[in-house]
Order: sequence, then C-alpha cells, then structure tokens
Amino acid sequence: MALRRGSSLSGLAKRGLGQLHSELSSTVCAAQAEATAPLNGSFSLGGVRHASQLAVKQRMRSVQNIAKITSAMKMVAASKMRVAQTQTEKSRGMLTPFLTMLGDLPAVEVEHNLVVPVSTDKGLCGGINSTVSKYARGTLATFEGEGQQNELIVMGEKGRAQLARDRSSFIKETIADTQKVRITFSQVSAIAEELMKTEYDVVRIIFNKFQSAISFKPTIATVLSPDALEKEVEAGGKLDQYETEGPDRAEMLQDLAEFQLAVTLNNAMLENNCSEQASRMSAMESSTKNAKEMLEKLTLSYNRTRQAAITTELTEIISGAAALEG
Amino acid sequence: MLLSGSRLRHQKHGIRQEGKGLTHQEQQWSLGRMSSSAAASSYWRVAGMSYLKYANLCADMVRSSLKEPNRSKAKLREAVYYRASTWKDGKPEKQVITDLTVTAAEEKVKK
Repeated sequence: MALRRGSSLSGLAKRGLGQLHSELSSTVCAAQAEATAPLNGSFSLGGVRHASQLAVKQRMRSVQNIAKITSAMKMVAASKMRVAQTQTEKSRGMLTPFLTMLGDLPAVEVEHNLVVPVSTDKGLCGGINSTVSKYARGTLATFEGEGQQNELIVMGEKGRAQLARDRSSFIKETIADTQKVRITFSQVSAIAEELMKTEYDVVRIIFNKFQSAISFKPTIATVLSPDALEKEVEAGGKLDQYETEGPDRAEMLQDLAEFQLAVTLNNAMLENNCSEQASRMSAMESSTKNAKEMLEKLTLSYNRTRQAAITTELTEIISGAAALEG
Repeated sequence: MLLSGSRLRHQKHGIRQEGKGLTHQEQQWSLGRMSSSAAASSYWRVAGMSYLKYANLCADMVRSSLKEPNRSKAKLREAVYYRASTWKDGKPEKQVITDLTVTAAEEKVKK
C-alpha cells in the first residue's frame, strides 16, 4: 500500500517535473532555433536520465572542432591575402597604361563575344563565385539580345559547376587548377594563347576586383581582338595622339592586343584570387562566430538538462523515503 | 599558329639547354630573336610565334642568364600549370594538363 502510494507520488512528481521540463525546453528550444532541434524531442519526453545528454555532448564537441577548423582557415586566408594583395597591386601597374592608351570600350559594336568568367577552384569563400556566374549570365543574355554570338571559356571549378547547369551549350572550354602552383605571367600567357585559339572580336573577362578586405566589385574587362582594335583605332581612337616607331602600325597593334589580353587576364586572375582570400577570411570569421554562439547555447542546454536530471533524482529519492516513513 | 602544351614544353626545354639539339624550327626562332629589332616584319612572327610566346621566351632567356641565388628565385616565376578541357555540345571532352613547372622539367630529364 505504502509502496503503491509512494510510486504514485513519485509519478506525480515526475509528471510535474516533466511539464516543467517541456516548458523549459520549449523556451530553450525557441532560443536555439534549429541548433538542437533533433535533440529536444528526446529530453522533453520524460525529463530524466537518458541518452540525449550524450548526444548533446557529442554535438558540442563537433561544433567546437568546427570552430577550431574555421578559425584556422581564417588565419590561412588572411596570410594568403596579404601576399595576394601585393601581387595584385603590382599587376595593376601593367594594366593602367593600357587603359590610358587604348581606353576601356565595353560598348564596342562587334559580332563575336568571348566571355571569360574567372572563378575559384575551391569553395567556402562567400558569394564571389555566384556573383561572377550571375554577371556571366547577364552578359550572355545582353549580347544574345543584341544578336551577337557568344562563347564561354570558364576559369575555375566553381564557375564551371555553376554555369554548366544552365549555360552548358555556350561553354567552349574550361580551365582549372591555375592556382595549384602559382599564378605567373608565363602561365597567364599560355592561357591567353588558349583563348586566342577561338575566333573572337572581343574578350570580356568577368572577375571580382579587390577593393578592400571586405569589398570586392564584380568587374567586366573588355579586350579587343587585333582586328577589332585596328578598326577602333582607325575610327578615331586615342592611339593616333602617340608618335610611334618600329614595325608598321598593324603589326604593333597586333602585339599590343595580344599583350593587353595577357595583362588584363593576369590582373583579373590576381584580383579574383585576392578577393577569394579576403572573402574566405570574412566567411570563416563569421562561421567561427556562429559556431561559438551555437556552442554557448548547447552548453547552456546541456547544463540545464543535467541539473534537471539531478533534481529529478533527488525528488525521487526524497519522495520515496517520505513514502516509506509514512 | 599556336603550339600544344607538349610542343611548348619541348621548345622551352630546348632553349634551356643553350641551343644544344634544337630542331630546325627552333633554330629559326633563335635566328628571329636575334634580328627581329632590325626587321620590318619580325622573323618570329613569320616563324609562327605569337608576341606572347616571343616575349615569354625572351623573359626565360633573361632569367636563365641570372646568377644564383636570384636565378632559382626567378625560375619559380616560370612555372606554368593548368588543366584545360574543351567542351562540345554542352559536354566536357578530354582534359589536358599543362605542367611546365621546374620539378616537372627535372623529372622529364631524369626519365
């Protein structure tokens, strides 16, 4: 009799605590959003000792490890960015004379476009690749609308994956692993020669221009083919203001056009590389922050559950003892 | 006219050996390199080289004429490595890896 009463009492106590738990868990749950969503179900059931604590602990450990990895990645990206930044700034020195001498002609009337989106090979670097793909799609759509021919040569694995989904018919060639060793001018020249195998009037290179560690501007650089450049100069370009010597002008323009392509591509790849590192740095910083926040919430819920389990056990013992006495 | 990766490698390799065992075409190129400043239409272009190839060859020559330790430092800037694949009808075709790094060249010599 006494035992039965005892058990019913403890049952009551359990139920009461169970309610308390479910209230507690619902408030904690709201705060944690989805962080512990799969785990909450288990501890709101009875509110006493069970495996959920272990699951939370495992989760805490994995979140902690992720935070460590992301913060390490941030450090790596930061140091890589510093190197890339000096390289990028140096490469601008080769590009600027071309812009002052030949100008940038994005609105030039041509028949055949070669669109070259420069993307990264590795992920986890924020939205810079989606920006490039978006601009590439926009460029294709614009010139398609004007009745011009378009072709794509995609640089980088990520851009390839994104553009192959819906623009695969435009893709003529993909180039990847350019950063595996390092970006050198010799390498860029070899790639520029790959580009020159295509019949084109104008190359449009799309990349993220590095401005600061937190700002990258999607940019489209326009490079004319030797023939198109000659037409443009004859139509009244700035080049006639310069006095030139050496080989005849057509040949010089061909040299210039080739060199301009390599220089612009070199700059685009370096700028994009720099933006990639900077973007990765801020992406990893925020993911480290998120992981730490999540860890805090998990720790809180873990401690609460543990404390609640202890309280339940104590209540059970006390009520059991009280039942025996009565 | 452009050269494939393997031809380019061969050509670079040949130049590195200071003119030893050059093919006929390469001899033509080295002739062109010497006298291009005087010619009205450059010999290297007549021989089928692009400006970029010519400029990079000149740069390679300057690099290999440097003294150590600057030379090996500059050699690092000669590295070319990329993977290209051509696409047809929305599908990628065979991949071509162009590897002209210093280690790759050394391995080739060992073989």
